[in-house]
Amino acid sequence: MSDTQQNSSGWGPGASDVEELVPEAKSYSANQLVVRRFFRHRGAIVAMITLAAVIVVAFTSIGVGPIPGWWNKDIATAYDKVGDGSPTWAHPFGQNTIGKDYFALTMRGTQVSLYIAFGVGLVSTLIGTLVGAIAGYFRGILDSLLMRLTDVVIIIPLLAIAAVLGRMTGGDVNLLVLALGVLTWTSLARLVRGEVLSLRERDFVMAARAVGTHPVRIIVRHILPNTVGVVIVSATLTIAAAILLETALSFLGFGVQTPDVSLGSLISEYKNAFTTRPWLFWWPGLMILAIALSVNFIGDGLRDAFDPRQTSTKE
Amino acid sequence: MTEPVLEVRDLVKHFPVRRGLRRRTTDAVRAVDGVSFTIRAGRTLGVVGESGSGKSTLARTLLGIERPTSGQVLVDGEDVAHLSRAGRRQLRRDVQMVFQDPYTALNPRMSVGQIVGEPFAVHRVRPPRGRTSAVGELLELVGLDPGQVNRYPHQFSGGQRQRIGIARALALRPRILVCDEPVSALDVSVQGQVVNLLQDLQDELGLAYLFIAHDLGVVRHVADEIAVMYLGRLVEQGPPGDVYDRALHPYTQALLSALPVPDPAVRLTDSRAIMVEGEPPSPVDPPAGCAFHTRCPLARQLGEGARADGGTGAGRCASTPPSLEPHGAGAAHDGTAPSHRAACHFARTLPTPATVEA
Repeated sequence: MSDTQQNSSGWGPGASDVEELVPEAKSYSANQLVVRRFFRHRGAIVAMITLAAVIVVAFTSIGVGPIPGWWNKDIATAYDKVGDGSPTWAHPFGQNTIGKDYFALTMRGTQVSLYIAFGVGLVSTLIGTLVGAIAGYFRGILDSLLMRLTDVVIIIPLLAIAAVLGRMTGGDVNLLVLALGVLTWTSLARLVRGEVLSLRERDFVMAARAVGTHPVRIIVRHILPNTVGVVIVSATLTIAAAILLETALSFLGFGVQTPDVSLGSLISEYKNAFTTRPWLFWWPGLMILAIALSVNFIGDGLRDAFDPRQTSTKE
Repeated sequence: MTEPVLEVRDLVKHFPVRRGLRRRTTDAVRAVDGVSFTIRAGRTLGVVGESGSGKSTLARTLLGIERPTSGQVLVDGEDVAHLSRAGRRQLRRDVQMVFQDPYTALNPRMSVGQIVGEPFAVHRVRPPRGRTSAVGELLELVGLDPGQVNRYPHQFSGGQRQRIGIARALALRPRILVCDEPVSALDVSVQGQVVNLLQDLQDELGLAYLFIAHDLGVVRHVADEIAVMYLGRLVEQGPPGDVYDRALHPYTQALLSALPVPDPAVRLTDSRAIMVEGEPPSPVDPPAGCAFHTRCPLARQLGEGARADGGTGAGRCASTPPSLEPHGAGAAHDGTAPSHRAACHFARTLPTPATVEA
């Protein structure tokens, strides 16, 4: 069918059109190419496995809410202390001062920190993409207003305003996510705006306008799908930044409040135990390190996959 | 004679130049500065001119992407500016465009089927046998395999992409197709195929073309009438035979003399080249009088003294803008055939056209 079609159309000796066709067996969509390049990035793969392992262990071990996990101890009960509370078979991460199981506490802290990090990533990506797309597409006065708003958010010292907002949330994790989300969207908004400014001048956007496509449809169907690279990479890096921001806030006492715990609040609570009972400090610290590192590596891998020209990987 | 499907009357598009804190309008880029023409169904008007002469702005204004500063665009005798909402939607369907660069004209994240079928979705049109088969028919119409609807633009060659772009433009059965340099980004071998495709489609569907190009050879091949643009204005207009063989305006003559001649013997002895020096003047501040007089070889030939006298001689070049008037053989016609017109005070007194074929 394909051959007869091409030949019967008979536009001169136009074999060049037909020959240049990518053979079926080797044709990938743009997304498939991105996935392939990502999987060639070894660091990103290791990071993804690490992160997946952390997530799975954190959520299955002590369970979520009413759903029980496979770990036989919980975060609330003070168990009999074994020795000085250092790691044992019964309590692999040790016990805290009053005998609570530190593995369960660390897992709970990891859950909360992950939730906050991904929540902040989501909120800030939504706001940043929306602001950037509107500013870039409509330009003019709307652009000026939104970009000056962005400038204002940027110049406020992040930690100071986050501390104030964190205090106001009164320990409600969802409010904390919102508060951090509305402070971290600025860089993405600028990136998306830049992308949109260049995309809106492309001929395919002109073609859509010539057909009479509604601006909202143009943004959603034609422009945003082409910014997905920037958005995903930036979202990943925001998640990495958010986990550190949450840690810093909780460490300062403005983030997650007792009785709930996060990795930051655990470190904060046991910062004086660093010399005497170091496991109380090291386990949450290690988790923060693992999560922040692997998210950053995944972000690097994604950036290389979406933008092969800037690749830093070998080969 | 059929009624013109597209009529443009004295179209002007200025882009304001804003300066300073208060963004006051200080100047305007005169991208299109008083252009008039008509196109009938099934006919092609070729527009040529160098970069920056306002060809693309003209195209965008016709598509309704830019609003004209003044002047009228009439589709089927109806003024586009006074259309109702529904009328404007219909206009979107009547006038469509084929773009220059097939690599940016297709959204890389949409499959061919989505690209070609999008006009249906935007206009909530239900083709008789469903959208899928309509897309297949369109692809077949432009010489592509309908089985390739699920492929993405990067899997096609430049010529094939241009065909996809043409299929998209044809989806809503337009009556006027604006082709903005549709083949200049393609290989020469593919150019011929796309030009032939456009001509076949014109015969089949009775489309009116506004064919913009800077390749004079291609334009001569496709156009029933030619308009030469310089700095936002038409300087010469007429049937291809007249314009190419009996060019009236010095600018047209210069353009034609720049055409490569595929004969080495001619090129070696070629002394006919008319050189136009310098860049086109800024469209923010076009020269007074005839926009071309600063670079015009004829005005130079007529002499400095003559240019300055401001009376009956060549001084008119610098003071009075020439209007587009019938000249030569075309002047005898009475409007039934496109007459040969040029905007030059001295079109009649020109020496023998420099481009007579050997």
